Amino acid sequence: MLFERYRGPVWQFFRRRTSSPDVAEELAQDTFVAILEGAGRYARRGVFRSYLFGIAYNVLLADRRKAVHRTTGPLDIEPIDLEPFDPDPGIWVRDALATLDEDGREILMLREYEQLSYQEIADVRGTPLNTVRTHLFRARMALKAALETRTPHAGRTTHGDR
Amino acid sequence: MATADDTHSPGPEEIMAYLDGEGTVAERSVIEIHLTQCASCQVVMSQQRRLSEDIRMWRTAPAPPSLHAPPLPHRRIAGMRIPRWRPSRLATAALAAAAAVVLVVEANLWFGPAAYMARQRVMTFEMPESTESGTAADTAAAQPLGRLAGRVSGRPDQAPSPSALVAAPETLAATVPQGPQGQNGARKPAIVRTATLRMVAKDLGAVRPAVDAIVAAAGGFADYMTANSEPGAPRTLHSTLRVPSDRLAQVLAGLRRLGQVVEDTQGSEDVTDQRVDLEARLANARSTESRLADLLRNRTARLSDVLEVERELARVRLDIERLDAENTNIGRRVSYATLILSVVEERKAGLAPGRLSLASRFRVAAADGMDLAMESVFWAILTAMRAGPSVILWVIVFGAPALIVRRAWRARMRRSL
Repeated sequence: MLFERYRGPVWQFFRRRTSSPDVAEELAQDTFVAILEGAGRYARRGVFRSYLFGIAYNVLLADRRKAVHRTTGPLDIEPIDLEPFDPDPGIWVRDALATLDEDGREILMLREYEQLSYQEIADVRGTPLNTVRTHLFRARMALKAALETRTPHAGRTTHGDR
Repeated sequence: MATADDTHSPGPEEIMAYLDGEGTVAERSVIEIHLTQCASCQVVMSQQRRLSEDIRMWRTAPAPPSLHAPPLPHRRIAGMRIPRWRPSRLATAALAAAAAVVLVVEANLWFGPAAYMARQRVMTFEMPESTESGTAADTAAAQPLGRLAGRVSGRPDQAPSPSALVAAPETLAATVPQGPQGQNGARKPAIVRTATLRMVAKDLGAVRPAVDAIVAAAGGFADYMTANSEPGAPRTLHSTLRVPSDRLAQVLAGLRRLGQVVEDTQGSEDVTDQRVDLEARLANARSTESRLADLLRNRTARLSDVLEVERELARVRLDIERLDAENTNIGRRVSYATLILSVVEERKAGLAPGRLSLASRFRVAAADGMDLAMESVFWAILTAMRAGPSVILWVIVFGAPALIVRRAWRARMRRSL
């Protein structure tokens, strides 16, 4: 069933972009409901995965617009929300991602976590393909620099194989 | 980046795209060949590859069990083909056909040929209004009924035929039961009774002999009777019957059993005063006649006087005859009630009259059924042509809002899932 197949990815999409599991769960639920509502408009123009994350991305943006008064950003996760499952490298990566500009961070996360192609990212965000590629490269370089300054582990892995 | 030369081709961005699986086959082939030969680009590739591995080290907890699929009764997400509640075309067509049939049948019952025929049937019940059928004209009209009248008058215990009544008024007057009861006795009221009976019978061929028998048994006769069997129209029997007034109820009871009564009316007219007046004038005229006759027999006078008396005698006798005939007529109307009978055959006769065999009835039923079906079809077509534009108009007027409400309702249902 489609829900079972994409339940995890959608959950992860929101969990990495929201501050609490409850919000992530709510937005994931909203995403699936929105998919049902838009089922009649889905014309199989592309891969369903990009369609799914396009809706998830819009749900996320809508939630951010509604929560614009919130002082905490989507990635400003308090330590209390840290889950015991999260490994330490993940904490450094998350913090490093939080330092990126929003466009670059979203494009990088869509590429690395959601495994969307450049074209799919461009479709989701409504930006040109070359812009996606440029922003992605910049974000990667910025993240690499952030990781090098924050953790020796990241620096080791980044500059390993030397 | 640090190891990449800005002028080196491919640059780090292109290598990133290569690692991400982007680019055409040709572009990727060029980069792939280059990577096998360029050590610096291999370093860049390794760095980026490890960066991706580092990024993916941020893992999240599995989705909580509380994240349920939206409850989707009768819906499936697979392939994003979510069946809506939409009856199949076959079901829609069947429903539409059934609705059309019901509509046509219902309308047919109210406005169709059957109802039309029923109305026509009722209309044929309309009868001549004259209830005074004891005149000579009526008698002449009764000529086609010679068989019935002859049978009635042929019975020794029955009243005379109309012709006998006219030809021998004295005889009838002697038999009138409601006649004067004597000079000093209490006069019995003279009542002229009339009745109208309209019926629908299944088989007119069986009705007519039965009517004859009932009337004959009561000592009555048919003053007028006609049967119509025009093609395409129901067979009808119209008759004016004369039956002894004291047996009118008996005759009516017998006739009512012959079919379904659709009208049953009775009326009466008191002619007692009229009759007393007539009898007084008649007695006076006869007295005058007697005196004139005596005068003529016993007195001698001049020829002119004799002629004058004879003329007066003739005039008086003419009056006597006229008054006597009038009295006889009233007496007959009092003695014999007038019964107007109208019988319409229930079905439209298509075969020979008389009692039908079972096979004939089947044939008649089949023929009638085909006629009815054809008339129904034509009626339905005409009705559709007449009502079609209105139906389309109202479908447009009400269909669009209904569609909007339905969509809103469906959206609400989805949100509630």
